[in-house]
Amino acid sequence: MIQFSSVYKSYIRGEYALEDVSFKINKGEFFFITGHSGAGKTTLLKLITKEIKPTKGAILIEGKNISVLSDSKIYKFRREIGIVFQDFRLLEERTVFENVAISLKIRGLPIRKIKKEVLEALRWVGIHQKIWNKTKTLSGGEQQRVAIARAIVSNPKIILADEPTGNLDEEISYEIMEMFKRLNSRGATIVIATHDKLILERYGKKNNILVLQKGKIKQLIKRDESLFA
Amino acid sequence: MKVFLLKYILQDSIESFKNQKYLNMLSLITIIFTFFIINIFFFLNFNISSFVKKFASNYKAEIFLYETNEKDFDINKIKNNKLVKDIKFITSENAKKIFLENFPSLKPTLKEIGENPFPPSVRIIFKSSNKKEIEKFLKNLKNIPAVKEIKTNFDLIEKISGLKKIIFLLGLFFGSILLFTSFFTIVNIIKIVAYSRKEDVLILRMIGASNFYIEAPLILNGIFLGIIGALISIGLFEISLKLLPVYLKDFYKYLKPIFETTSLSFKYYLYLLLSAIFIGALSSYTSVYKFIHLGEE
Repeated sequence: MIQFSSVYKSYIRGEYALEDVSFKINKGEFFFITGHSGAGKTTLLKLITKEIKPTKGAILIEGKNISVLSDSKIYKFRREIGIVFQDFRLLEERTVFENVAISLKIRGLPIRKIKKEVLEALRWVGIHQKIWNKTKTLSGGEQQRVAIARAIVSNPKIILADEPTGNLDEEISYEIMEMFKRLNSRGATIVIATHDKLILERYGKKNNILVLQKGKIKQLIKRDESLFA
Repeated sequence: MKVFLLKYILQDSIESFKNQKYLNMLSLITIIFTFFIINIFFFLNFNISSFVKKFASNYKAEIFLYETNEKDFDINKIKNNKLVKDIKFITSENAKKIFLENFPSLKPTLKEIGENPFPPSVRIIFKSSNKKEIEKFLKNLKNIPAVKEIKTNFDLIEKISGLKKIIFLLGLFFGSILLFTSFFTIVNIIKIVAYSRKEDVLILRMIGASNFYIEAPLILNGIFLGIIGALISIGLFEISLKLLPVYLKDFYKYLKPIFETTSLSFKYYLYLLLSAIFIGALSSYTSVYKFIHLGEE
């Protein structure tokens, strides 16, 4: 589903944020990317969404090389991916409904269908009672639920999450992770970048983990191997 | 689906317009001022043109003849000339009559003089606007022994045309400066509006919004500014035209008989509105063009 072949990314000439990265994520997989701050986790996710372009190498999503995707087609490609961020990235002045609905509005769906889908997504993440609240009035955990609802409302095949529990306390973090597990069981491919050891200990055991260090792959731990052995 | 998309874009732009009301207000004031001044220049230019048309549209000449030789001047010969539109012979008696009709208070003075001081004359209205050709024609007439003197309206036409040109050039100069001011004000206001939405734009791009979806509300914002600004400037200008005669009563009393003003036409206002829409769209597009590629590497 997602394949990196000798991918390099350099922001400054001669210095690589990612160097010779090759790995494969299969369809329906629950995949972790970990490493210390600055290891290249976010860069890797940005390459998947084509927010940035690789300096060298090929990135294949569902068999298509996204490096050659023209600018005019990027937005359609991005609609196939749901993204969740550590800082939620919500439209703060807008309501919960509007934040989730925007994913469907950009597709030009009729408002009746949007209302139905948004309500369903909000119910799924358990925040439907606050549908008309402005997102800035919500707690961190609630905001992350809204962000997840926005990511899933269009039923994307791939969901990327960049440190989704980074701003949340332990209990809420587990709730959010359970949501990703449920999404995965519905068939979505989940890619989570995190350096949270507790999360990796609890959820990483049964999943593949890519460990990055200074932009290079340190280790690719297959499921059932222990990261902390 | 496209209809819904357009509806959402329109809703978004109205929302954005309302959210940035103070910035938009600043932009509006500049546009209103610009178009108001442009309206004044067009109004002056239009009315002076009408005046020129009314009083100095054709070259005219008045040929004064020696009374003794008036019969030596053959009107029929001139009548068929290709330059001439109309020709009229005025006898001394008729000239006196016309004078007394226009200036009845001078009747005693004329009586004191005794004899009729007005020479017979021929009034020619030319259809040609070729001044050189007409001057050549008049030079030939001057050689006729019956001709005493020739007077033309060439100076008047040139002076009014010159005035018209000056007003037009002033309008063009100030209008261009003001239009550029408006253009750059809208560019910068939309830039600020766009940057205030920087985070929103990044989110929209991330979730797969097309450039059109991101650009359109900002461009519509510019168009709204243009439309509202132009309409208010038209309204204010029309109100000013109605109020000025009330406040400048005395001045208007003398001006009105010779210079009757008419307001600008509906067609002009339509062009003004279209120009405002164009400026609004162009300036906002200029400011969002780079902005939509924000964050791309």
